[in-house]
Amino acid sequence: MRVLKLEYYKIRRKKIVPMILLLLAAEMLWACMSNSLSISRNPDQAVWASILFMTASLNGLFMPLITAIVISRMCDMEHKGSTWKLLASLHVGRSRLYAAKFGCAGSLLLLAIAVQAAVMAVYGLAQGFPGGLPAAWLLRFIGGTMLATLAAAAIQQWIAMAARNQAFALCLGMLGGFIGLTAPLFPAGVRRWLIWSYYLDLAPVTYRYAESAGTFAAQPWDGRIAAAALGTAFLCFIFGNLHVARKEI
Amino acid sequence: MRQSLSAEWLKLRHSRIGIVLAVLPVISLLIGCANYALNREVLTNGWYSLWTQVSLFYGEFFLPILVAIVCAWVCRLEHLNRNWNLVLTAPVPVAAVFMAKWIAASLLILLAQAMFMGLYGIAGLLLALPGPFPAETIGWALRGWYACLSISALQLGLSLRIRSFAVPVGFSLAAVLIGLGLYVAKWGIYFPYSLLTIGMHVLSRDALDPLREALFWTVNAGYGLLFAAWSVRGLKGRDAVTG
Amino acid sequence: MRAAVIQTRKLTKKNRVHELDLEVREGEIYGFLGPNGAGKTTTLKMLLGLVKPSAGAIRIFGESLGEKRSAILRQTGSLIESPSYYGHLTGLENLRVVQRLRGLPDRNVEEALRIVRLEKHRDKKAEAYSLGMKQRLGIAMALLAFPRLLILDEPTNGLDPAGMEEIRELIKTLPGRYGMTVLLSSHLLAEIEQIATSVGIINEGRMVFQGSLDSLRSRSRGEIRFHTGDNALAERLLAAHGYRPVPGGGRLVFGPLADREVAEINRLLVARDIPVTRIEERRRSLEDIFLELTGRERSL
Repeated sequence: MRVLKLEYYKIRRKKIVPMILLLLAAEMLWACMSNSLSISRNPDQAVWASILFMTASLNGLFMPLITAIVISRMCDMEHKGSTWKLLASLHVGRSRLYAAKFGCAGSLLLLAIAVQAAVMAVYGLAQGFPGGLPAAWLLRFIGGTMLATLAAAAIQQWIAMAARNQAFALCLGMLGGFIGLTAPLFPAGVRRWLIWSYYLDLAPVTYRYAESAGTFAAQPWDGRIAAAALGTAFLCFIFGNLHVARKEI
Repeated sequence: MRQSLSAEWLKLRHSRIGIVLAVLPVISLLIGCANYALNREVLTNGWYSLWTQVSLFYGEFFLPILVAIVCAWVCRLEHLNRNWNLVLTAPVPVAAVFMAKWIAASLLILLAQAMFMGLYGIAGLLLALPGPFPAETIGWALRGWYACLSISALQLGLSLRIRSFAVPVGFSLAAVLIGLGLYVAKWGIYFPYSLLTIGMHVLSRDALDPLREALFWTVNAGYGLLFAAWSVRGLKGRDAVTG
Repeated sequence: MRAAVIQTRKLTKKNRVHELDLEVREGEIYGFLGPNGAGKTTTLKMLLGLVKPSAGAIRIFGESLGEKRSAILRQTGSLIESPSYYGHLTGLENLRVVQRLRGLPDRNVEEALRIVRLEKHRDKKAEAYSLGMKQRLGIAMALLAFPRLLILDEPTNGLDPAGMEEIRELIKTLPGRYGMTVLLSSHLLAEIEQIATSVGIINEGRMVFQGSLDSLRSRSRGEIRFHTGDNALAERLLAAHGYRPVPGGGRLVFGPLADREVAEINRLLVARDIPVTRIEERRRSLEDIFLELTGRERSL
């Protein structure tokens, strides 16, 4: 716990939270504006599902990159100042330090997702979407997005800690964003192997494309995908932790 | 100037930047081709359909991010080893230091574009697309590269000033989205990140009308010079920090 | 015989360190000497568990490092290679990081800052520190827990002569005032000579000498040199009486001689009217001994 609190102390002055909020602002602004536009073209779109789907889709691009950037910044500081060497020479143990870092990053990303949910809630209420606040959907949104994010974060932290040059971690983040964005184009069989497609697959709603116009529909919770996300997060965290803890300094 | 450039080249050797450069074109092509193959009935325009599939996300979102990563890479070594002292006290004008990095970054992006084009050509052949390889696309790729010049001048300015690798990349993400917005709002011709979309003809095959064509070349050049000047000023005013 | 704080047996790291038997006793200031690249830093890293040995055993405070690493590190402070610091945090904040991880009281931080003379700069960001200040910050971090064992890798690196003197004086007081055992490495022989009580000399991964400073000094063979008016003649004469000088160009150089031998040589030369202009005694410096032990013409 102490070690976890220290991670928050370490990121002071790095302005990581303002940066997250800025990127979220760009994303949510786009989501809301785009949603507004589509509503003005087609009043049928004035439902909660539309903004949820929009955000989930954009998350495919944004969350992998935000995750990569946040984790890269948190890990880069240990490389830059050779502080990992110092930390490793204390009694605390590298595994615990690695876990604390993951916990801190995870909490910041959860904050980001919660902010997204809050923005959607406010937007939807302002737009007067029917049915009142869809609490269940919003919670599912948070949960699903978080699971996908944890998996991505576990991979990102492994690379960001193992490789000094952050280009590789950010390159992977870029790739993840690419896959997340293009995921709707893949068949389900391929999507299940790519964790970055889980942002849409774990969303509470989906869009069924039809001839002239599509409809939103509730998407059932896919336990297998959720398990895959959790499993990936778990495995990558464990392997990353072991690898980095054993690496010579 | 030549020495600065060869110095940059030396720093890049033995680095694995090739992997980073290759990743984006390869993935773009793979996904684009897969998508094309799965949707052949709808995408009936042969080479051009393939082009829209492969270049859409590449030119729209991810090439600028790659540019940001490359520019951060190019500045990385100086930040890391506190080499600014070494670099800034060498008998080379500050502007030459920047130019060398700009040229190096631009050449790397050109390499990425070349890889992209090469893979596009191969993919088209493998998919047995009808008709000849459209020479226009080479022109489009080069125009895209030209647009990258101003983007890289901006990103270099950021990476020179900011020690963090990730922050300028974050900036490029936000800029990309703004660029998309501006493109949709028809103001894309005035924003460097949108100019890339326009230049590579990602969304539209039509040639630009003469006015917009002229604007494309001049606005890019303008931004390029502006950001270059900004970057050099940043270098000049830099108190060589030892830490 | 005081307890051994550090004891290694045949400590080996492929291509770097070969079957090192290091022994540091309680309350000592152990100077770990060697040319650059000899394996000092690698050895120190192995003692802290930063690098895994290829073979050999390490015991610290009587316990095996492999088994009781956490407990051992709790009582160890270190500064290895270049100082570690978070550039975006102030000097004080950097110390707070270590303080909180180790669970130390605030007064340790105050004391450490005072000892290394960084109080005035505590609220400056570490990235703005000069090289010497960063070094002192690193020492402060190592000292923060006032541990039983302090391992310092070239602690005076980057300091000006006044700073180096300060740190040397500080290190000398540590065993007495805080009960610490200090293991410090250096390639500066004069420095080790001033502060260390025991010395270990490593060369190309092998320990070539380990023992007290005095026993190292006694290895200094010393020389007696005679400057005469006619060296060639003197040599022939002395050879006939069983004294063979070492070739020394321009003077007659002998190994250690007893008093009566010096007197005898002098008498022989004077008796033959060979002018004796100087009789000099040269004790070899630690540097000469070191160079001889490490077989190098130049140390770097």
